[in-house]
Amino acid sequence: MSKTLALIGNPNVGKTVVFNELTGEMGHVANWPGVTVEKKEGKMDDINVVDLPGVYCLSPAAIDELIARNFIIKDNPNVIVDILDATNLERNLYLAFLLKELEVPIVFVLNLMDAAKDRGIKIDVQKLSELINAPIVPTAAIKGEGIDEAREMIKKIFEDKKLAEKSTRPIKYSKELEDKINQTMEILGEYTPKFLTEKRRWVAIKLLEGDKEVQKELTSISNGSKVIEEVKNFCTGTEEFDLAGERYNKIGEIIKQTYIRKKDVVTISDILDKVFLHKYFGIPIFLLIMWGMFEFTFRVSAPLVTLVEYLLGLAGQVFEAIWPEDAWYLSFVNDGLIGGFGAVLGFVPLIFMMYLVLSFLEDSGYLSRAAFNMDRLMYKLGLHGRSFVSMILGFGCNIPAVMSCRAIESEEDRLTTILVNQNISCGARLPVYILLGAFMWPGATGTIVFSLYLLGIVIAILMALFFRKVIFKGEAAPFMLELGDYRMPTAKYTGIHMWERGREFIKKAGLIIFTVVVLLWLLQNLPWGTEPENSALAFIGKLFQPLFAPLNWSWIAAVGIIFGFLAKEVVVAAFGLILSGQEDPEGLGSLVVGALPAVGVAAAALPALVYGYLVFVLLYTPCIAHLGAVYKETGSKKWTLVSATYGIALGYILALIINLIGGVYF
Amino acid sequence: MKLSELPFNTLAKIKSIDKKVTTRVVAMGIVLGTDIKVIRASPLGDPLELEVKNYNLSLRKSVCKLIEVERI
Ligand SMILES: Nc1nc2c(ncn2[C@@H]2O[C@H](COP(=O)(O)OP(=O)(O)OP(=O)(O)O)[C@@H](O)[C@H]2O)c(=O)[nH]1
Repeated sequence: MSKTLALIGNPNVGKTVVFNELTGEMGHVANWPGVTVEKKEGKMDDINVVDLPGVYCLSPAAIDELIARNFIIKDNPNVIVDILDATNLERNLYLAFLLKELEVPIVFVLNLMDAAKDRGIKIDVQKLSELINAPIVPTAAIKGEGIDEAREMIKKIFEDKKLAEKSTRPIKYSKELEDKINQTMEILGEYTPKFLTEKRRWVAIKLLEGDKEVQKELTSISNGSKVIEEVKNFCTGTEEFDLAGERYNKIGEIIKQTYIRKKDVVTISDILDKVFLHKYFGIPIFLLIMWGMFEFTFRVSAPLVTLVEYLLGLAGQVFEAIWPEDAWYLSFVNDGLIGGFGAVLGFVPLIFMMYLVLSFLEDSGYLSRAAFNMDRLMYKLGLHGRSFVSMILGFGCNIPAVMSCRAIESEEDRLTTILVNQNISCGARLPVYILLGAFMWPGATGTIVFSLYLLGIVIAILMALFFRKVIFKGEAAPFMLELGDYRMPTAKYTGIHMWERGREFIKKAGLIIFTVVVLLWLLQNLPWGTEPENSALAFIGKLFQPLFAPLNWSWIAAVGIIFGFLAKEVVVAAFGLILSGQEDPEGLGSLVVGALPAVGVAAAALPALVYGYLVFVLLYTPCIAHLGAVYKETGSKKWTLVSATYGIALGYILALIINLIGGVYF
Repeated sequence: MKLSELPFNTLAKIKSIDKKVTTRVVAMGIVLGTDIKVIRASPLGDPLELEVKNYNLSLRKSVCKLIEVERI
């Protein structure tokens, strides 16, 4: 029989680190069935390790909590490993208590012991283990300390039936509550002998709490509604709070006996918060950090991009040397693969650098401070502090940004955040801005690019207001945010987090972009041996060009837009391919700008035309994979269609207006 | 008084919690009898940073209004 272990814990307790240390791998990622929350799995010897989402409790209100809880109830892992933060034991024990109620064999890993020690915290682990009836292993996972012991203890609990059984023993609550729990269990047994027999105590507790999900399941079996009725009859309605209070009471007693913390030590976190959350400096510092993030991204990635381009150029020369000059495969490899896919690869450093900074900010604890600083603003837009993080992610790639929205509890907030995210200018759009901007406005490229980013933010805000005030008129969801200790991120795990995010982009680059680039090359070369102006690509461009005639765009401009719909990364590649007859990568910007206007457009109108083009690129669908993500996350064709149409419509209208103004002004 | 009206850095105890407060907020340690402190407000005035159960939690004023506290 296969052995399964479920890893759980509060957010930010070092679960990723423990997972890696235990399994010695980064884990394979898939999605949970039916939802897009990532499911990470790995192997510790013959034990299958499943990483559950980081959660504070197991309420049915939030999707990640429901996933964690359903996995434990329905998939019956043999053992649960709950990771606790030693610097914040009291709150962490709350989830531990909820897990104990599930009566599953459990091992606790008391992580961050090093950080606890630094803060003068002493924990009597032996005593703690006795009081909660389960083995506890102290670790400092980031230093690899205690990992061997944890691994051993996990193996032991798989083999030692007695140890396993002991760890399933519940913690008893106050007499009053225990009476109610017993009474509910009796009613359950009377009417529904088979309903979750093994976890009857848990079901009883959930019924007392009025848990919607358990009630729903109960009503689907005969006599289930009767049980709910009878339980309601003797409930006072305060049981949910009573139980929570009682858990924290018990936790308080345990803490008193096992946990010593030096009173009133001023921690580094306290000092840093005085600065980062300062009444007047907090927001300027936040803006400075965001600016620094982009500066760093562009500066550091520039040489990397050059390097990638250089290596690809070198490869191209090698092929030229070894293959006959007019072979179709030379053209395919050099123009199709290297010219196209290579252009895409050039942006990988950019994306990864952005994720590097984001991961650093998140791991250090700053990102939650940013949400704290910005929440009021988000709230005014009818959004959530978490929406803000999703928006920031959008600057990297809109796909993980849309996916990150599932952490937002309220449906209205979530839909709005998903639908406005596309206006946040992702990394893939930037090369287009730079290509055209650098040629058109050589002295002011930065300003032009900045104005586009800013426009995207403004449109996102306006659309958020529109959606939240006109379409989804619901109450804002409660906001809660833990402001945990700042931590110095380690290179290894910042790297891993960067990779986990960047992987999304690589997947997209690998699959969609590659396919599109090959398609592009084919279309450009068919019928075989033709001139670019007569190719299938040109045919498609000319087919769609009339749609863009009011904007004064040429068919080449149309090609860029059509392929940009598939993936923004290929816009530059598409231009490169169509215009690569004049092989001159340095001057691509000038070629493209020259090719964008339809025949007969005055040179004076060019800046407005180009800027309008960039605005369109900014506002219409980021890429087809983005629409896929929107569809997955909203589960609705309607909202996916809304996302696509409003983007295209807005882009078109604004480009038109800019053209008109430009035409008159110049 | 309401938690939202509690002066900064003043220790208080939670006296009552409105039914509208969700389980997920309660799970963060917002339970009856708990010591609680408001550390600061966000630069824009809302949300508030609280100290509860030996850690720092941020809640919006709209939720803090639903929590009655007493200074100790
Ligand atoms: N000092 C110290 N830091 C640690 C330890 N374990 C993890 N960290 C740090 O804590 C931070 C969070 O670790 P993660 O492993 O990303 O936490 P997580 O639980 O996976 O977080 P989520 O992905 O938000 O659920 C990182 O900056 C780690 O470097 C530890 O034992 N000691």
